[in-house]
Amino acid sequence: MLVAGCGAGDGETAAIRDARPTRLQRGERMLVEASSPIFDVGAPTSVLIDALGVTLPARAVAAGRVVADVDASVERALGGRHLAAQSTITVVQSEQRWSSDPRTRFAVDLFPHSLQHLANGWAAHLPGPAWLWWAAALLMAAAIVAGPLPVIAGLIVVWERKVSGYMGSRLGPNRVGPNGWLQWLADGLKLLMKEDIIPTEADPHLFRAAPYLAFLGLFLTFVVLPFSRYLIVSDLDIGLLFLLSVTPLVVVSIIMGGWSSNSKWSLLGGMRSAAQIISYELPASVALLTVATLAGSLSTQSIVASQGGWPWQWYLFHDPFTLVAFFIWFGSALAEGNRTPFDLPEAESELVSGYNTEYSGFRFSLFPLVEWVNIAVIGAVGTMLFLGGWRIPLVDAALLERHWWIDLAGFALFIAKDLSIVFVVIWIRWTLPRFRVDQMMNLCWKYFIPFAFICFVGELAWLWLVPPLAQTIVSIAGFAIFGVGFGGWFLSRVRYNARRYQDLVLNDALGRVNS
Amino acid sequence: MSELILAYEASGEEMTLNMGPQHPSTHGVIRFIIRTDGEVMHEAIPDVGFLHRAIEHIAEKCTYEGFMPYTDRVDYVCAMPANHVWAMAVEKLADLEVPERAEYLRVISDELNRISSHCIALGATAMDIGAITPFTYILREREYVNELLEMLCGARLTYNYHRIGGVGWDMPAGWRDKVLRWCDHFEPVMAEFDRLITNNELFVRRLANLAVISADEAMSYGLVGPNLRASGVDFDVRRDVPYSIYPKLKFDVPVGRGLVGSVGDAWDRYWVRAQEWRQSVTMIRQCLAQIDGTDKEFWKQPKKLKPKGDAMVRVEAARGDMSCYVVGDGGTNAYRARFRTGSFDAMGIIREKSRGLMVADLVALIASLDVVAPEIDR
Amino acid sequence: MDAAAIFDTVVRAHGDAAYELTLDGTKDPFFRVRAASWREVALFLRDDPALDFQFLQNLTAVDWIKQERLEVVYHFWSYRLRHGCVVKIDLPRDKAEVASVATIWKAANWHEREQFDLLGVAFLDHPDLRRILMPDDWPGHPMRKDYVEASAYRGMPTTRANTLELLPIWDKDKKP
Repeated sequence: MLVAGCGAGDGETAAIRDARPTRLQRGERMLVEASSPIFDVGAPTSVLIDALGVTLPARAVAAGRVVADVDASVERALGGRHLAAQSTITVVQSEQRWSSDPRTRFAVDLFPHSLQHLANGWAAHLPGPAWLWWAAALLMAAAIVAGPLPVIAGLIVVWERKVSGYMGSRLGPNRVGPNGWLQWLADGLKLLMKEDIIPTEADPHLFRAAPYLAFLGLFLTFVVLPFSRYLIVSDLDIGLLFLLSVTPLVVVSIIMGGWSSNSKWSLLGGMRSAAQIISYELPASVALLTVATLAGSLSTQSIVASQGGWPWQWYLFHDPFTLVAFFIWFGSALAEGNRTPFDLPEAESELVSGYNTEYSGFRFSLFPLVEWVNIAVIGAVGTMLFLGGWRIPLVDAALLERHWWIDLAGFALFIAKDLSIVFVVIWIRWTLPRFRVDQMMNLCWKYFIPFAFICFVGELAWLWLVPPLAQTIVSIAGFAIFGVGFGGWFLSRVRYNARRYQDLVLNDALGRVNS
Repeated sequence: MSELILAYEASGEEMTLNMGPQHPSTHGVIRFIIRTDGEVMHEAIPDVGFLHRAIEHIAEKCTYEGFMPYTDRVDYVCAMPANHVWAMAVEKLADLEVPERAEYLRVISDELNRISSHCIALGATAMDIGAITPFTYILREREYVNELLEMLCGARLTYNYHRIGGVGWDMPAGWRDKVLRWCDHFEPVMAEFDRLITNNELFVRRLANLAVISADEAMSYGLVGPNLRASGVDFDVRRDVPYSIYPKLKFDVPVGRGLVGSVGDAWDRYWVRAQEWRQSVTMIRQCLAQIDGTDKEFWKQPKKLKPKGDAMVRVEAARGDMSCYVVGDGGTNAYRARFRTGSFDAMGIIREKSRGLMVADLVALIASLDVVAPEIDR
Repeated sequence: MDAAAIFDTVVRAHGDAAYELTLDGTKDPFFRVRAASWREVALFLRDDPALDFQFLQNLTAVDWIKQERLEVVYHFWSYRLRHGCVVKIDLPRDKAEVASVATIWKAANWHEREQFDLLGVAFLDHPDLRRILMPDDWPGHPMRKDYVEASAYRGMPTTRANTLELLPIWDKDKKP
């Protein structure tokens, strides 16, 4: 038996160079790479995770590559437990063993496919075929993820109405529930009880299908949103790409709704929306790419993890290019979410209600639901990419492992950042007028897209040319100027206007006594 | 109208869009048949008459005094000048005297009502462009005006305050101070409103150089009031065909200057109204300062009202020159009455000006002309 | 310029097309113009530099049913010269036709449509003489003094029952 490079101190000659990913559950594959072509393609192979004592069946796909399958046998070995350890990786093939350098230990995480595990447990104890329980487990998981969404949308709706009310010196909803915070429930119930009208001339199938597609496009984004270190449905390696590819599903739904309604107003709204979302997808993607370059990963958790907890460690203040990229991304996100000043597809003063003019009842309610959840998604994406996500200052990964409540604090921080972006979105909506359709297109193609590309290229140059110390100084300076300086000026304006509000509204102009 | 639609549909390339009568931004029941190619309009053909209540016909059916409440409905956004024009027309026809105090009260109520009407016009323009907060913000001020007018005459919208030969009531005790207090409050609000929306970059870009109406066009199409002045014609009925106590007041007539675009564009029409606010406030202040020196009498009720002949008077209402032509044949009722209103002519120019605009611009154009449906159809 | 001077200017250019200048016994001095030469006079009113009436301020028709005539009243105003004038045109009631001035003053387009709609004055050579306030298929011209409203329009009754009659205090025999 020849043991090659089994790592007693000679790190440069370690046979196994890399293994990824190391967070694995059943059904996934691990790729193991050798430093030199040593494997015999086709020969029986297995991969050993030494510290855990787990053997994975594998196959050599090339002379330098082995793919290990995490299958049911591993599930049995785990026994429903979560195994994690720092370990070396060893490949065994035809009596030969190659190991990785013992000094570079891989953080291997093996955990059971919880849903499958749950479903198996149910199937073992309850009658009925196993696939039925599997489906039930999937449905349950979907409900847990999607269930809070109407609540989020509802609360944001109430919040938006309250903000708009205070901005326009009104009260906003204040009757249903404590201070009106259950208004969304009343509105939702009302919409559910309305008659579902499908216009006679409409295309009934497309008309019915459109809202669900919008629903789908938006809620798929929740798969990759990292609410905290552990609160994520799936940390896909292509998380950012996934995000960019599912959100435009909404445009399909809007065109479907606009076209199938057989109303000219809906059609105009649908066309505007298509032009708008497709155009603004470009600058948004390029701006996101800038951040992805910086993080060196498309996985949403990696992007968050590569930022720090302090504001100057956020990508927002990383360098001038990310700052510009943030505003480009934010403008594009507003446009993609059909929010003012880009709310042309549903411009109520022009197109009645745009693409959803002909909808009623529950089907109609899905469109606003999507719109408002989308604000939360915009906030979440912005938080994750530019505002440091769930990262808490002075907390490292080890500390996070030890205390579950730190993770919860991270979640709370994430939500707080998310809501502050949501507030800005609401605030912009109730302040600014609307673009005209040609102005909107000009803004995208003449300004956003070139500037996004400049940011991208500039970012590459920045990473390449500027030394790390200078980068740190620039981020701190950026935070000082834009964060502290601008923020302070802004707060002083808020204070001034709050006093004006006192004068204008609370002290009645006609001298009546206000309660 | 129906044959028009069919004729356009047949041409194929164009889409015919039916905007109204129940469209959110037609400011009442007005309808437009729009021929568009996508977003670009070829023509918007106004179709009016949905709010036609035959007010001129009603004038022939009731007595001169009895018709006064109906004049409120000529333009319910700015009803005081409509009261005023009817009272003045009948007074001219029957050679009636009006006490000086009544003239002051008429002018104060006119100007207050002009402010509230411009509140709606400017707020609605902002709302049609997509900014909703300025509308609610400025409607709060209109609410104060409504309350002041309610204290004066008991009504908030259709006032029926002016009478033939005077006004219905004297101003209540303490009302003067309330109006002055409100004026003090309103002046900074106007500046704030300018900061909020008038000079907003997006807003300016939407309105500047939009639907430019030259002075010649404005005169030929019979535009009046702020729409006319925005095109650079320096004419105000209050100054140039003086009536009531306007000769005793000092005020400027704002004329469009093309500050951000060209003279006569939609932003100028907006801006002229925003300046008229300020003039109205100074006029109210002057009136309130001068009214103390007048007699207590506010209404010389005419004994017998059976005039003969015809008379035409002009009044500067919020939407410009509102004229009333009244013909009497010696009976208690008018033989013929005609109200000439600003919105009617403003609607007439929309078809011409809509060519080549975008659908969103039509909304801005309607709003900038400050068209009010009841005033078109009467 | 006052009404007499305006009248003189018109008479000097167009002879007896203008007649019957009335200064006394009327609130607004006016003169009449013969319907046959109205178009030329109208052009003259607008284009003559001494008159310069750029603004057709008002256009009214009055139905004098007892005298079997229909009177069209034009009010003009000049922004440059700050003067106005009133022109009346007498038309026979059964053949109320007069030349349109819609091409001279654009404002006349809609005003003429309105007078056509309500009083049935036919404005000849009008570019678009349709009803404007009433529905397209409305019978008759409602502001004529002898107009009798049909009891229904497209199946919709034009009168409503008097709901006051339901009140116990309503006296049926007493006319309101």
